[in-house]
Amino acid sequence: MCKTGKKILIVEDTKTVSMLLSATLKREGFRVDVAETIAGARKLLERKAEQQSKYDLALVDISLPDGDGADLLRELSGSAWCNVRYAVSADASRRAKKNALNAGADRYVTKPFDIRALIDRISDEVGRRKIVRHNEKTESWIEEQNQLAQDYTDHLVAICEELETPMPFKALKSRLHQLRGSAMLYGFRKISTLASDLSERLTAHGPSFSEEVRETLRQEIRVALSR
Amino acid sequence: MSKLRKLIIMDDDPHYAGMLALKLRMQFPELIVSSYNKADLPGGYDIYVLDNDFFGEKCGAQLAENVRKIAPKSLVIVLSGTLEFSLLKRLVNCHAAGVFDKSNEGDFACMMELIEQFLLRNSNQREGVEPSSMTGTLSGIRDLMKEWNKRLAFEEKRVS
Repeated sequence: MCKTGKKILIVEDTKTVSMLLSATLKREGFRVDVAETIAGARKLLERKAEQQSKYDLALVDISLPDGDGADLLRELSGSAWCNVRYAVSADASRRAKKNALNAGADRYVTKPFDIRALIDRISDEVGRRKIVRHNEKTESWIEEQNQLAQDYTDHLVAICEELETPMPFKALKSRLHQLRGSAMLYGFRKISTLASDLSERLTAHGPSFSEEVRETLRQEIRVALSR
Repeated sequence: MSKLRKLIIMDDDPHYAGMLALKLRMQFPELIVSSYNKADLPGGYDIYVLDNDFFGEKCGAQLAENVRKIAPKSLVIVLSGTLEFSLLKRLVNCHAAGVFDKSNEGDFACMMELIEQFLLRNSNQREGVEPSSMTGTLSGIRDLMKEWNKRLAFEEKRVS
């Protein structure tokens, strides 16, 4: 069985329906939790929140023994506990469908339903949401990366100015240590290699070598920034 | 959806920590990544990435030992520019998973692999998959020892 890693919550009091849905979804690789009441569903949702996790999709029966499933849909749509919500009901009227959609359902499924068609729709829905979320993330990552790169360029300009005047031996060593790692991560390989080399030479020759280190490093940073 | 794991980068350089955090988030979207630029230790993380050098003070080994006390099951990774024997010995004793050179791109790839293995192992255990076999564990230790020895030999050559 291929695991999708996606979690589905079924809130359904008719055991035959919930068992059929649960077994079919599990066979398709979904991880499924079942609640028979609104109270049971709330417990499962709280447990998920404690685990800093959430459901990818919830199937909520509108008619439940301890209340109206629409109330639960309203709670789910106003929280980050669940990405997609399906309302399930035997009432095929337009009014019932409108009420469920107004309560926050993304789709309205009427009983009896074609189990195969429903599973296919769930697979499409959950997969599609994943792609959208991934694209949104990629855009924000690129934006963050550009901002970090700009900040780092400004940081190198500041280091250049700092190196113009004498600084304590320990501070210079610490600066070289930082540059070794950060310059490599930001793609300034020459600065990283030079900082590594200068750090070793500074350790070998002591503070008397500080001035030469500052001048050499400053020149290399200037060259790198002008490229 | 599996439980989100938490990673913290402890480094005195905010520029390094910021970019490393971003790269980790891009590689492992299931990780919650934070960074911290002080040498006092926050608890509650699954993975600790510790810089050995804090404002000129070598405190990586001490930090790794403290992590082991407050988070015994966590993955501990140390970043260091130098590999003194005393540091390696202390890190081996507190079961640090590895020590990597910040300025080495190959080391960066190794660190990512180590984190991936840790996340996979934890994910498998949560889903009820059999944990690593004894052969797998021994192979892991053997690989680790081989890596330590390689690094020690390199360091010895570099110093002499």
